[in-house]
This record gives sequence, C-alpha cells and structure tokens, in this order.
Amino acid sequence: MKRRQALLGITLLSAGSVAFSSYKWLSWYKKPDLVYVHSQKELLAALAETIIPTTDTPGAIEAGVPDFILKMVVENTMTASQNRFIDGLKAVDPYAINRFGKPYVKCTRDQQNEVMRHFENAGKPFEGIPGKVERKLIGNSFFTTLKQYTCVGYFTSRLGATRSLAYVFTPGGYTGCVPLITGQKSWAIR
Amino acid sequence: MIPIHSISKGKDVRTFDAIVVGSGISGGWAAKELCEQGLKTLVLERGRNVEHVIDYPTAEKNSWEFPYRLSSVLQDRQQNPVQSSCPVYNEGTKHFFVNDQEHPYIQEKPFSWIRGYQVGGRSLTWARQCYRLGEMDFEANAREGIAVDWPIRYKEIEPWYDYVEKFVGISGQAEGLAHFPDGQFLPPMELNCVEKHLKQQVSRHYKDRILTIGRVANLTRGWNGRGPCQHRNLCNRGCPFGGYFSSNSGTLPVAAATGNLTLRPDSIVAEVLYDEQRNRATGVRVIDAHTQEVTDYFARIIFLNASTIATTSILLNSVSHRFPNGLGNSSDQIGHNLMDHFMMGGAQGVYEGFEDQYYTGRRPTGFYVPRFRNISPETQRKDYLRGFGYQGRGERAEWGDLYRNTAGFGESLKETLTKPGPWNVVMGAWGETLPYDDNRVMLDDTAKDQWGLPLVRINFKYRENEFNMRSDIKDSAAEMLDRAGFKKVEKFYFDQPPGSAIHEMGTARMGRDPKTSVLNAFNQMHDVKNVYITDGSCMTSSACQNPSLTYMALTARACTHAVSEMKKLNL
Repeated sequence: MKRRQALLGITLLSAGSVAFSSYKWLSWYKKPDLVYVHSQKELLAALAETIIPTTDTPGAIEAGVPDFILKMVVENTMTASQNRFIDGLKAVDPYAINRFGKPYVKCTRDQQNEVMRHFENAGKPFEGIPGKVERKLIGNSFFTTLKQYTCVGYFTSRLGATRSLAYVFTPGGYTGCVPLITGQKSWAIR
Repeated sequence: MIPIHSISKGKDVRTFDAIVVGSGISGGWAAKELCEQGLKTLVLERGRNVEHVIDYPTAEKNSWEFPYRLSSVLQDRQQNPVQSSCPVYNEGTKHFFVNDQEHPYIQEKPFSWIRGYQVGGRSLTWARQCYRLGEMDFEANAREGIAVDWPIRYKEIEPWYDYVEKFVGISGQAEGLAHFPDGQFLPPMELNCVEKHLKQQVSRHYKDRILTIGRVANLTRGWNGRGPCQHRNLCNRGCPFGGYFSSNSGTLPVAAATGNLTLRPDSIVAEVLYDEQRNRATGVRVIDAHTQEVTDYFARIIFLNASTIATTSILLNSVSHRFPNGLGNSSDQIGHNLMDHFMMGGAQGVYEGFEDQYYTGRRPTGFYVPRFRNISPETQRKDYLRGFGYQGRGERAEWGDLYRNTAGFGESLKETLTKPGPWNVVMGAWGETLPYDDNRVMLDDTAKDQWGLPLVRINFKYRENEFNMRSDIKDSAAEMLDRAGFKKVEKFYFDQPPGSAIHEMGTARMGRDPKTSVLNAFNQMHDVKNVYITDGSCMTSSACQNPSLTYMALTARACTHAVSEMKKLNL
C-alpha cells in the first residue's frame, strides 16, 4: 500500500508535465452516477452511524446526517470527489461480502468497524504538497468525504449541536477565563 | 423608518442642499452630519434598501436552518468567485455581497474587489476594528520622500476621532503609546487565558511591543440607544440588538430623525454634473438600477462616499471640456496610488497548558499587537519602510478544527470532537502598502456594464517593500510565539490576491499642492470646491491600521468645513 501511495504521489506531482493515464483521468471526471447515491440511503445511514455512533447522546442517523451527506454529495461536491465517493460507496458491499459474507448494513458493529478501517487506510490523503495536488486534481477520497460530511452534518444539526456540544445561541456576555467543569462539552458555535 | 424618495417630479423637488453618494460607513456619517447641521440632504445608494433589524433575515438562524450548514457552497465559488473568497461570505451573509456576474470589472492583474451594494454598504459586514492613525503615520510620506505629504497632522484629526468615537461606541483598552493613540473607549473585552499568557510574554521579551485587546465597534454597554453586544459573534448577518456600529444602526436613523434626510436606494450615480461657467458641480446624474430611467438631482454641495474604486470611476466618467480626464483631475492623480493592506501572513502555535480553563460567550474581536517596526531609531529596518500590526486570537480547538487531523471514527472520535481541544493562537498581520503611481484604477474604453457605464479596470501589484515586510511578518510572529513557549509553531502565508483586505484606498488623495493631489486638507476638491470626497480614496498613505475610523473622522470634519463654507457663502 505504501509503495502504491508513493508512486501515485509522484504521479500527481508530475501531473503538470507528464501526461498520465487518461483512463484514470476519465474515471475521476466522468459524469457522476448520482442516481446510484440516491438509491443507497440505507447504506449511507449505516456508514454515517459508524463514524458518529449513538452513545449517551444521539448518533448520526437520529441527527439526520444521511440526508445531509446525500445533499452535499449531490449538490455541493466537485466532480472528482463525487466520483471517488460514488466509487467508494460501490465498493463497500463487495468488500463486506467478500470479507464477512454479507452486505454492510447486515454486518455486526465490529465487522462494520473493520470494513470502515479498510476504507480509512485506503483513503488516507497524502501529506504536504502531494496532498494539496491530490485534493486539487482528484478530490478527496471516499473516506475523507464521508467523515467530513458526517462530522459537519452531525455537529451542525439540532441534536448534534445541542446534545453533544454546548449550544448557547445568545450568550449575552463574554468571560475570558473560566474553570472547566467536569464533563464540559465544547462550545457548538465559534 | 427612513423616508424613501421614489418619484421624480419637477426640478424643485430634485434639488437639495447636499447630495451624498453612497450610504456605507463614510456616507452614513456625511448624512448624519449634514442633516444635523440643517441641510436638506439626499443620500443616493446604488443598491437595495436594508432597514435595520427588519432586513437581517439570517440573524436569528441556527446552523441547522441553513441548507449547507454554513459550509462553503460550490455554486457560489464557481459563479461568484471574487465575493465568495471573502472569509465572512457564507450562507448567512451572502445577501450583503454583490453578485460577480451582475457587477463585472477587469483585473489586469488579480485584484479582489469585494463589494456590498445596499443601504449601509460594507458597514454591515465590516470587521469593526477601530484604530487611530498616529503622528508617525501622517509624517511618514514627507519624512521618507514617498508620494506627497499629508496636508494634515494628528492634532488636526484628533478632536474628530474623539467626536466620532463618542458616537460609534468602541470598546478597547488605553495603552499610552505615542505612535498608536488611545481613544474614547467603552470598557474593553477580556483576553482569555492563553492570550493573557502571550501578552505577558510579549511584554517580558520585547521592550517595544505590547499585546492589547482588539479595539472594536461592538458595544460593551448600552450606547446611544443601541446594544449592548450579546457576544454572539454573528455580526456580519446584521445585529438585531444593534450591538455593533453600522450606517443602518447608527448614523442613518439619526440623520432621518432630523427630518432632513431623503434616502434613495437603487440609484446608480453615473456622473457628477459640472457647470463650466461657474466652475461648480451642480448635481449628479442617476440611473435607476431597475428601470434604467435617468434623472438628474441638484445640490449646492456634493459628497462622494461611494467607496474608493466606485468614487474613482464616477470621477473618471464625469468628463467635460474643462476636465476631459475626469472631474477635478487637473493633477491627473485620480485613479493612481491605489493601496490595500496586505494580509494573510503570520504564524500559529499550540499551547500545552491551561487544560482546566475555558471561556464563555463568543467575543467578536481578537487581540492586537500594534506596530513595532520603524517606530524609533532602534527599531529601524534596513530592508523596508513602515510596518504592520498583528491581529490574532487564542482559543481552544473545537470539532471543526479537529476532525480532519483526528484519525479514526466511532466512539473515540465522537468523544474527542465533543471536548475542548488544545489551546492555540493564530496571528496574522495587516501591513502598510506604499502608494505607487502605477497601481491604478481606470475605465475601460469599450466594455460597459448593463447600465451602459464603462467597466472599471484595476492594475495593482505589491513591490519589494511589501515582500520584504512579509518575510519579517512571518518570522516575527513565529519568534514571538516561540519565545512565549508555544509548540508546533508554523509560519503561514495564504497567497490571496491584493484587495482581499478590503481596505482599498488612495485614488483621489489629499495633499497640499493641487498639481500633485486631488483633495485639500478638508477633503475638498482642489479644482471644484463644492465637491468633497471622504471615503478611502482620500488617503495619502495607508498606514497599517484598519482605516474606517479615519474615514469617519475625516468625514465629520469635512462636513463641518462644508457647512461653514456655505454659511460664509464660499460655496
């Protein structure tokens, strides 16, 4: 994996001067299969819940995150990231079936975590300048997009902001130094 | 309710004592001062009307009420690339920015012209930082032989700073620095733990530097019927509490209360009308933004407060036999010497400690480190002139900062993201830019906008002085954080186009000599005495302080001059 990533990193860095695989290029910039995304709400929900599960506070599903991910992927994502997201989504069940003999939504929590770990490792962005070139040319990986939209969708939702964070819309004043109390949550708004 | 003039009948109802072009931060002040001094005043605003509170549709919205939850919106980045590059542009504020498609301009080199065409202009979305220029700033051009001398010194503007500050309401801490004058302050906002630590360390390690709380036009107590600030830090959506100063909350209602104000939104000023026989401006020609109907309005005095680049384009478009290159342009200086502060450079660091400390509320300002370069023989730099001030803030990392760099998912991720993270400080500089003759605003010969007005062309670049200063900006910030015990200190420079500070200024400068400047010591055109210009275009040098406070002070001063000249029948 490391060697593949290193090679891809070199390819990306030299992308400006060297014409690289036009097939890959087309796969990143093809018209994204948005109909497929719409058909996968159940899978999206299970994936989001793996990222932010229900604990003593609501999880991603209860906070309405799957709909937000769908909206963001369909309406507010660059084509290359859209394609990488959709390709990733399409690869989840084959991997889960290959590994555990059942689709993701039927997997146990531990099995889901293992599938997710696989996609996290596969989708690690490059560091430094190759990472910047990567984002610009081929967008974010499936896992990066999934995690970003899940976190943003969750912590800006009514339940996420008010139950998992400390939400005060109109504070009325500012105090620069206060002792942290036990179990203090982060402020929801900056 | 501010009365809005909608019908144009005979010439008599289109004649006023004064016309003010623009309703932003300086136009609002011109309106207030002229109305209070008894002049029937017409304020022309090219954008729509925005009434205080009523027209702040997003002010009470929670994050989950926005379709994209205040994320950057792809469609905006593509269709509105310049405006959406502004850090405060988001789903909650974008109705206070123009649309790039509807309001094109030509960038000969990249220059972001960020605009808000509405009543109140950019006073609705400004960063509210208020710093006086000091004697050093007014003397700098003369001392160094740069451009031309300011025709005023600090003592001439000082009482006007006092005057506008008392009305605006600015919270801040007096520090007693000669080159960074104190003002009339409301109680300061508090620094938090990590900022107090940095303040102590800065004073300990540097004899010539201090750190102080930002001086900001947010009200720490009720003031002139407005506020106090509720510490929501949602100012740029418009404040239903009147917690910060804008034309809409501050000056325009006072102007309206005199009964002397007529406000006409959707009124694009195409040119200033000029009478060659009498060598006076007689009025302005207005195009209705919606109907394209052209109407002339008349007045004894005209204040141009359309914002630097727009005022310049109005002047350049006002041609006559006497002024073939633009009204009052015998010096040929109009459009030259464009400046903007350069920013986006600085350093950040993480502080290990104060884990048991936090803060409550959201403070609508950060801290300020006043200029410390080239303020004395000991602080003299060989590699550049002038200096910069740092603006920064300390806070604990929260979910939005943490999720990208926190590996994993599931319960542990959720746990990490819901707790306050490490303390960090980010500080970036606002640096002085020198006035260069060939940093210019021009009008295009052929391209026109949808109202038939020539498109603005902007040709601007930074030079060696700014680039040398930029290196010092990064190094000095990193050194201060280092000495203060911060870890993971990183220098940064985000290469944003000039204009991004939204402090454009200088294209109709004040000066002593009509041959080399456009305005005199009272912001009055050398060539056409009944035209005053008190927006950013009047600036002879940029200093490094956020400039709005200076525009306000110069405006109030110029209005008093204009009224006195009218009484003496000089105008």
